Amino acid sequence: MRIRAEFTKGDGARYVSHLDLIRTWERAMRRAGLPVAMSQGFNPHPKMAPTSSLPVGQTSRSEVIEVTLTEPVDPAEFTRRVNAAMPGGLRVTRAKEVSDEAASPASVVSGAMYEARPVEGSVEHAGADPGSVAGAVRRFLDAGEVVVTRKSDKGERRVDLRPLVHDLSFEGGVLRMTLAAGREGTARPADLLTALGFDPADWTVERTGLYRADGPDPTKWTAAWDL
Amino acid sequence: MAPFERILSQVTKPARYTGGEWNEVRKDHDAVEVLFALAFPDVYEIGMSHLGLRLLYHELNRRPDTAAERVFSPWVDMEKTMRQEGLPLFALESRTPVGEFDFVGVTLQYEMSFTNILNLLDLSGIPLLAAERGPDDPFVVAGGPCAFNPEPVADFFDLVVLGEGEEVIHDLVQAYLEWRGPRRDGGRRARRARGAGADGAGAAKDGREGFLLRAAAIPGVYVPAFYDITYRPDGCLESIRPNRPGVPEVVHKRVVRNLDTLDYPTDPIVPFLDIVHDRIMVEVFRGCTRGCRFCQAGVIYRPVRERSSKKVKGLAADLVRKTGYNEISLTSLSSGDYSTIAGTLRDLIAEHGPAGVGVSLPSLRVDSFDVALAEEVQKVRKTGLTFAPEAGTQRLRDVINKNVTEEDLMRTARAAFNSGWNALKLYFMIGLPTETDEDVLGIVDLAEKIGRVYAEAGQHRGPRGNRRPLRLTVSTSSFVPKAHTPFQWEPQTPLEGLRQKQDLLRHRLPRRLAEYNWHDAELSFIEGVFARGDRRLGRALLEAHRRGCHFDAWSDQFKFGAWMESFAAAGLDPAFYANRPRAYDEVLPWDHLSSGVAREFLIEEHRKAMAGETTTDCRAEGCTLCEVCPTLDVDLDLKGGGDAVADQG
Repeated sequence: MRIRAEFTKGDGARYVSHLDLIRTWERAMRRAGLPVAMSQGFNPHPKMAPTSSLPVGQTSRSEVIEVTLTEPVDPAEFTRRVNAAMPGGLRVTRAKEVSDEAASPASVVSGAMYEARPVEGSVEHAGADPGSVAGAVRRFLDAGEVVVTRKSDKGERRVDLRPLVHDLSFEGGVLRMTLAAGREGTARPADLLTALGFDPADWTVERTGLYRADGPDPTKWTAAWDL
Repeated sequence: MAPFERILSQVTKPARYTGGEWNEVRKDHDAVEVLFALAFPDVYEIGMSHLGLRLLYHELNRRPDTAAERVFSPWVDMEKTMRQEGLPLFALESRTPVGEFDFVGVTLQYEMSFTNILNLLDLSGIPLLAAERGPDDPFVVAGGPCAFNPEPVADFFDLVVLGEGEEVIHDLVQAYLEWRGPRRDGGRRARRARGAGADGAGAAKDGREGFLLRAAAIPGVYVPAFYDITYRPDGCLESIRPNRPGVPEVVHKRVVRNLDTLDYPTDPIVPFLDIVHDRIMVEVFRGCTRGCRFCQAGVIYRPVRERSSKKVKGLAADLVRKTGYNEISLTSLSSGDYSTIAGTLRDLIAEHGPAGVGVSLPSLRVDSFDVALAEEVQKVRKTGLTFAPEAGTQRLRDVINKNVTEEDLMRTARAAFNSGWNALKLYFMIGLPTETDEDVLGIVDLAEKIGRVYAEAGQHRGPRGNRRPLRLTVSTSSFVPKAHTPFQWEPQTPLEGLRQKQDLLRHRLPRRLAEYNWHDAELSFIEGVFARGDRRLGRALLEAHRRGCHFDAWSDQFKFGAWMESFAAAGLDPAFYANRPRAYDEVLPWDHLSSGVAREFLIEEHRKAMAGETTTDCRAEGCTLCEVCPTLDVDLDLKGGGDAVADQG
């Protein structure tokens, strides 16, 4: 039975890395007594598919994971039992059965929405007076290209961030971003904050949703939950 | 100060500092009488892998009147940020500064963590020297294996606990409550007033010393300040004498008599981070009487007391349910010696295997290793094989009483290769007493013989039919003579000698045959200084702390030059401690601290070592007169009757 669950990653789990999060899910499933199907092969592993990794330090209001169980479980019962076995900071908000034919969010998701707020007490530090932020946002949106340097273990790489940023606004002290996240490319909130001239350490970032774009019109998309 | 989030965004692995894991215990501080910080002076992933910390966390939090919380050493990046921001060291559960606790318990697991202890106190704002602590400061308590010679750190601790902590920790909290009296008002204010008697607690009219005197009356508790040490002109100790009436001449360690009636935590914390030992740990027994003469654990944890197979299986089932781990490790000093190991493993695998939960044994000895057992274990989880012959020749193995023969090793290796293993690790020590180049080259000889056994065994095909070469690893550590062992009178091989032995192996062990790893000899030398050090070394520790020595066990952090400067600044010669032979009648810095094992037994074992004579295991062949049982009124306790050991003897 294939179950899709939506969960939140709150303050208590903010610093849990992607790999640690998956392990936490596996253990919670065992504590909950929910039998996860194992993959076949030389090195079997539990059939669990998180949608998109979340950088250490970020919270999320809507993450999506799919789990294959060896026996049927009522989704409400699934939610109740997982939540009773999850450490603080991780909460399943809803779950549903999906058919085997349904698209897998992990393979089709193409974008993510985020909200960034200045870390409390460092507003001046962050240069986060509304005028300067709004100006930086406008300059970014007007730019033809915004090349940033990404560092990884393999070295440095130059990337044009502009086409990966689908939407950007600043209102009521909150910076809202809609960014590419998937096979066609991924923009990280920290990259964008840096490109806007800020220190990412001055901001707390929360993911608010994952979605699949339904064609070139940026206003047409389907949430990962609804795929 | 910057918000916590901002600090954490600047450091690696911030989850080390946040707590919030599954099964963490958080208590309302206003609803308890005593706050007890349990500190492990290394990073989270190492500290959380330590069973002793889990046991004490459980024992203390079982008390409704006590909140126990965890403290670990912040890694260097976090320490730097904390110092910049003025953030004092805090406990993970409540983020309460360590200095606000009633007790700070620190485990002494290895000598090379001593500088981290000073750093931990420093980051907590607690005066380093016990003598300089006032009414607002916590009592700083030590425990763990190095508590059997705590003299180099004696000046930094108010109390030292010898032996197993599960019972004595309650005695300590009880004595504290009696001394301080009940809290009159809300928590923190009264606690701040402890000792001063300003507003709250009826306590402490007799000040900190009043509590220390009460504590010193508890068996197993050592108060360093209550002992005077005098020295002879040649630098050796002259005497160790109590300086308060009623303080015992000798402090004996504490032991738990029956492990089956001891409470065991079945709801341990399950970390988010991938810690070093990230699995269920069920302790199957304590103590080891194999009698290896270099081994301190083999003396200080005597006698052997087993947990029954029934109890072990019950705990394992509970732990699987409450932790969600997929691996059960049966822990002890040598789990292959557990008298009911075969049946216990079989039952555990039958019960948990189908759910994908594996069973592992962390320590297998060549002579107690049963390939059939190992195959059972491997069915569920793949692990490499590790053997520790410790010395390259039979002569030297007899000297150290490592009762493993070359035939044992070859037979076991052959069986393992026939069962499909192709990776083997061999652990040896260099610098053992009486060791010659011939003994060192015996390691090369053993490795070559294992290579031939592998070639003869013939089944070297992987799952896809690919050829699999032998992957042999030879590792050497440098012998460090330890207090309370038969080799406590022996000099440590000087640095130059250790390096020569390593060079010999580097040149003579063929690279195509085996990979060779060796421990840093300089690190072993410093460890050798502190392992048998006395109280004067506290000065060198302070100097090293001031020079930025910390995380000495991490090779990228170890600063040998700074250590040598520190000894010089303290006016101490490290070779005096590490490389000097002692006479049997010399007063040793730990003579007032007893593991229960008689000094006469250790002397006899030392004499036998020099004569190349071996000693048997009391589990199999009768009492060897070490005296631990009558001294501590405790018994060897084999729940399976000891047949397993006898079979292999």
